[in-house]
Amino acid sequence: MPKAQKEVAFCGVLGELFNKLGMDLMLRNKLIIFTAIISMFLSLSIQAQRPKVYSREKPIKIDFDMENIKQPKSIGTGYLYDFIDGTIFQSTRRNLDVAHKFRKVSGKKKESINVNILDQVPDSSWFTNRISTQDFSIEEIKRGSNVNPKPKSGKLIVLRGKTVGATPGFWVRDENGQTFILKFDPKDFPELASGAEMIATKMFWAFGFNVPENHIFHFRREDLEISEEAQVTGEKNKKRGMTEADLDLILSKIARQSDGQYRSLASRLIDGSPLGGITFSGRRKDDPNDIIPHEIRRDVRALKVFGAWTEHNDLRVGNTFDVFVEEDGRKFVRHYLIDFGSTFGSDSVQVNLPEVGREHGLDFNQAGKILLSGGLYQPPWRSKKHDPVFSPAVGRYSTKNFSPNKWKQNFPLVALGQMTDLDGFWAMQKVAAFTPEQIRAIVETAEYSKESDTEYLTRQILARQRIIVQHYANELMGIGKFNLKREGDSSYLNFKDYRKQFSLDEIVNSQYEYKLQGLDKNAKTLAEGVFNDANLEINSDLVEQISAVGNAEKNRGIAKLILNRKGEGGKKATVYLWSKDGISLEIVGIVH
Amino acid sequence: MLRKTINLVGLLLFLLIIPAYILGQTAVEKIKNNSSDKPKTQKPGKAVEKEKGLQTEQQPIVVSQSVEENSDETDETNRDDEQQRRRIVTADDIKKRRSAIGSFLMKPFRAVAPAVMDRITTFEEDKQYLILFGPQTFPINPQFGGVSEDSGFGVGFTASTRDYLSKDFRIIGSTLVTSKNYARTNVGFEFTPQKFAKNKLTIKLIGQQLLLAQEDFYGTGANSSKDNETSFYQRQLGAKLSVDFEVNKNLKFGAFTEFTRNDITEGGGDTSFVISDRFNSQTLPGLDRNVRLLETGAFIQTQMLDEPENPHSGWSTKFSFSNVDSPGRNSFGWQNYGIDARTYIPLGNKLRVVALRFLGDFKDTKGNSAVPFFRLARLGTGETLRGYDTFRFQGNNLVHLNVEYRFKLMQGFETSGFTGVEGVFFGDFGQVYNNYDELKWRNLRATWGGGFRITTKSSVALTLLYAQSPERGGILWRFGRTF
Repeated sequence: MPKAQKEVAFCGVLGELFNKLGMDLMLRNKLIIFTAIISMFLSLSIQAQRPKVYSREKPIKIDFDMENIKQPKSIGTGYLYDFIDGTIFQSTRRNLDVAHKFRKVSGKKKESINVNILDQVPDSSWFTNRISTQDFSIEEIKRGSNVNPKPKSGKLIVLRGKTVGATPGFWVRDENGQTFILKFDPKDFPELASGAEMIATKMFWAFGFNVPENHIFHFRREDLEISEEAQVTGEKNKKRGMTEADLDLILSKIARQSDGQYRSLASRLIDGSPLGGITFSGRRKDDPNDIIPHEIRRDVRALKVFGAWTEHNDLRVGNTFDVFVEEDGRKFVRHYLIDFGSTFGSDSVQVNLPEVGREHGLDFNQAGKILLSGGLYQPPWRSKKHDPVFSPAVGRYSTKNFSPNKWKQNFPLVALGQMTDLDGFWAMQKVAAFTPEQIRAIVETAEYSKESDTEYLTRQILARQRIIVQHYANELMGIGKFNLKREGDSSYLNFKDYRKQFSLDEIVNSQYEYKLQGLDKNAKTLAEGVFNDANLEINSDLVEQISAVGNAEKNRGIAKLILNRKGEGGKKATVYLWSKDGISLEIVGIVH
Repeated sequence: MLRKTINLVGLLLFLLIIPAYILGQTAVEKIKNNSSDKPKTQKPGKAVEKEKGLQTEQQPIVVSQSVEENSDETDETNRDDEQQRRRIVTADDIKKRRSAIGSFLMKPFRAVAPAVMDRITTFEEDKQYLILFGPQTFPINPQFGGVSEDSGFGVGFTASTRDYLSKDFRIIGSTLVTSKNYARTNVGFEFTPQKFAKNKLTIKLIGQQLLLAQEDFYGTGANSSKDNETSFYQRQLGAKLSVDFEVNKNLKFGAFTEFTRNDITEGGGDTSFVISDRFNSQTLPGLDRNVRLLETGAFIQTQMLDEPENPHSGWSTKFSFSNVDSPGRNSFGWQNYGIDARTYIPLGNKLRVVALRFLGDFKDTKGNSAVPFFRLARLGTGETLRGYDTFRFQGNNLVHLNVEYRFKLMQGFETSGFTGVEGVFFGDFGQVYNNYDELKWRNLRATWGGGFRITTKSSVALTLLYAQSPERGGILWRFGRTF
C-alpha cells in the first residue's frame, strides 16, 4: 500500500477529508494533532464548576467584601463608551469565549459563584436581601431607600445646570442643606420618565440593590435662586456662569402643570466619592474586595429577570454607580444602580419604541433573519400598532410579545447573557414575593394625575410578574422557600409551589414524590412516597435513621431528600438534611 | 472493506474522544467535591482561624431552620458572620476556575480594551464630536467629503460670519482638497431676510474655483467602449447668483444665472490614455481652454414626503430648465430640460419601502452649436448605473430609473440619534443618447446590488453599497443618502 494510502487508512475519515482537500501529508498530520490538542484544551476548560452542595457549617449570609481599602481610581463612562463596550468588546469577548460556547452546547452553563449552600445570594456591598426574605409593610415598601427627608418645599438654591442634551436638569440645595439632582419629564410626555423612575427605584430597592433616594417633587419658578458659583454646560461644551436665562431655557423644555408648578424627580446625591460605573464583566482590579468577576455574580446576572419585569432596557455601565463610602470606620466601594428613567413605558425623552426589550440596538441575530428573508420578514413587534401607547404618562408597557428569557436590553451585556436557570429561578423568587397590594403601593408613589394610569400600570406589572414566575418556575421543579418546623415529635418540611401560586386556570400538578436516602453510592432508601400540599412530615424515627446514615465521618448524619412532581421525574429539587443527634434536623443544602 | 471499517472506527473514535474526556473530567471533579469535608466555597477570611468540617461545640437543638432572615437568631448570626468577615469565595478559588483557552483568546482584547475605552471616554467628555460634526457653533468648522464623483476623500473647512454681522446677511466660504487632488474653493454672500419672507427666501452670490484633476471620459453614446477610457483635467472658475424661495415644505422654486470659464487639459489618473490621445477640439467640442458659458435657469420642486431627508412614503418632483450660451469665440448653445421624479411606496408598513426615481436630462442644441463634452449628461455616478465606472456613459440626453427596495434591519438607539440600519437591494437602468434613433432597448444598461444605510433621526448618515454591472463590481460609500 502506498504511503499516502496508509496515512489515509490510519487517519480514517479525517485523513480522507484532508486528502480530498489536497493537503500534503505533513500538514494533515499537524492538523489532526492540533485538533486533538484543542479538544483537550476545551475539555480542560470546562471542568465541572459545581460548588459544594451542602455543608454542616452555617450558610454564609454576608459575603464580606467591605474590608478597609484605599480609594480606587475613577472609571469614566458615557453613552458612546457603553455602546462600544457592549456592542463590540463584550460581544466579541462572549463570542471568543470558547469554553462558554462549549458549555452552552453541552448544556453545562457556568453557574454563579456568589451563592451559598441554600442557593441564596449573601448580603454584600452589591446586594442586601430584602423582599422574599423579609415582610414589608405597605409604608415600608413605599418608603424604599428613602431614609432622609424629601426636599423641603420653599427656597431652592440652584448649584449647577445643564442646558444642552436630551435631558436638561439642574442641581439644587434645599433649606435643609440637602443636595438633589432635579430631573424632568419631556414636554410632550408629562409624568412619563419621573413616574417610571420612581416605581423602578422602589422595586430595585426591594429586590435588594443599592439605589438612590428619589422623590416626586413639585416646585415653582419663584422658588429657584441661582447660586453665585453655579455653572452651566453650554452649547460649546464649555462651563460658564449660570444665568436666569439659562434657567428659563431649561424650564422651557420641560412639562409644566396646569397650576403653574413644575414636577420633577428629585434624586438625593449619594454620599461618598464617585468612582464611575460598574462593568458588567471583569472586575475592578484596584479594589481588593472585588474578587468575583461580575459576569459570574448571581445578583448581576439576575438583572436580566429584574430588567425584563421593569423593562429596564438601558442597563449599562453609565446607569450604575460605584461610590467610595465610609461605614463603621471602614472605607470601601459600594455598588449602586441609578438612572431608571428608561424603564416601563419610558425611554427617558419619549415613550418606548415597540422594539424595546425585544431587540438589542444592534441586533445581529435579528438582522440576519431579516436579511435571509430579503427584508420580507419583519418582527411583529416593530409595528407601532402591534403594541400601542396607553397614555403619554405611562408609555408603551404591556405583555404583548413578552418572553422573559428572550428579553433584551439595548446593549448586549456579558453577565446577562450568562444567566443560568438557577440564577433565573432565584430572581423569580424575588419577583414572586411582591404582593398585588405592594405593587399597587409602589405604583402610587409615581403620583400619576390620572387614576387610569395607575390602574393600567399596576395591572401590567402584575401580568408580567405572572409570566416571569410561570416561565422560571417551569424551567425547574418550581418550588422554593423551604422551611423546616418542629411540631411535637415530628419535623415538617414545607415549601412554596410557585407554579401553583401563579397559575391561572390550568391545573397544576401539586402531588409530589419524595425519596430520602443517604449520600453513599449504594445508600439504601430511608423513605419514599407521595404527598400533597407542599408539606412533608419527617417523623422522629426517620430523623433517627438520618442521623445514622453515612459510611464515613464526612457524610454521617446527612441525607438527601429528592423531590419531584409526580410524573415529572426530570425536574427535581434536592434538600440536604442533617441530624447530628437523632433529634434535631437542619437543612444544610438545597439544589434545584 | 478494511478501509471502510478503519474509516468508521476513526470517525467513532473522533466523535467519542471529546465527550468521553469531558465526562471523565466532570466525574473526577464531582468525586472531589463530594469527598472533601472542607467547604471549598466558604473559606474564611484572614481574621478567622481555619474551621474544621465538623463543629466541635455543643450545638443547640434546632427547632426550626429556615432560609428566611427575620428572626432574632438570624440577626445574631449575621453579627457573628460580620465579625468573622467571611468571603463566599477567595481569590484563589477564582483563579482555578478561569478557562485556559478562553483567557488566551481574550488576551488581545483585554490588552486593547482599557486604552480604547479611556480614549472613548475622553473623547465623549470633551464632546469633540460636537466640534467636528455637530451644530456649527463656530465661525470656522472642518468639512469632509468629496468634490465630485470619485474625487477621493477630502478635508477642508467652511467659514461663515453667521450672525456676527447681521442676522440677514452672511459672508460664507469654504475650501476642500481631496486625496486625488481635486479641489473646490468658494466665497460669497448669503442673504436670508428675516422680516420679509421669514427665512424662506435665500439669495446667494458665490464665486467658485473648481479643480477636477482626473475626470474620466470614454467617448459619447450608449455604446462607448471601456477601452477608450481617457482622463482630462478641468479647471473651472465662475460666479453664480441664485434666488431660492421655499413657499412651504412642499413647494420650492428658484432661479439662477451662472457664468463659468473652463479650461480643459490632459488629466492625471491611471488611465491608459490621456484625452488628447483620442480626441481633439474638432472631434470633441469643449476640449479647449477658455470655454466660457453663461447659463440662466429656473426650477420648481414639489413634494409630499413623510420625512424629507429619509422618506418612507410620498413623492417629490423637480422640473428644471436652463438656457446656456457661450459668450465670446465659442459656439456653444443649448437648452437644458431636467426632470427628477421620485416616489416611495411602503409595502404594508414603513418597515419595507420601494423607492423609485426617474431621471431625465435633455438638451436641445441651438442651430449648429454643440454641447461641450464636459457638460454632457452622464451615467455612472453614485446615484446612476452604480455598478459602472464613473461617468461611463455620456451623451446629450439621458433617461434613468432607480429601483430600490429598502427594509429595516436594526433598530439603533433612538435617544442617541442613531435610529438604526436599513438594508437595501437595488437595480439601476439607464441610457444616454444623442438622438432619438439611439433610444433602443438594446442600448439600455443595467446594474444591481445591495448594501446598508445607517440612519439618524432626520436623515441618512452613511450609505454603503456593493454594486455590480456587466463590466465590473465594487463597493461604494457616501455620506448621506442616494435619493
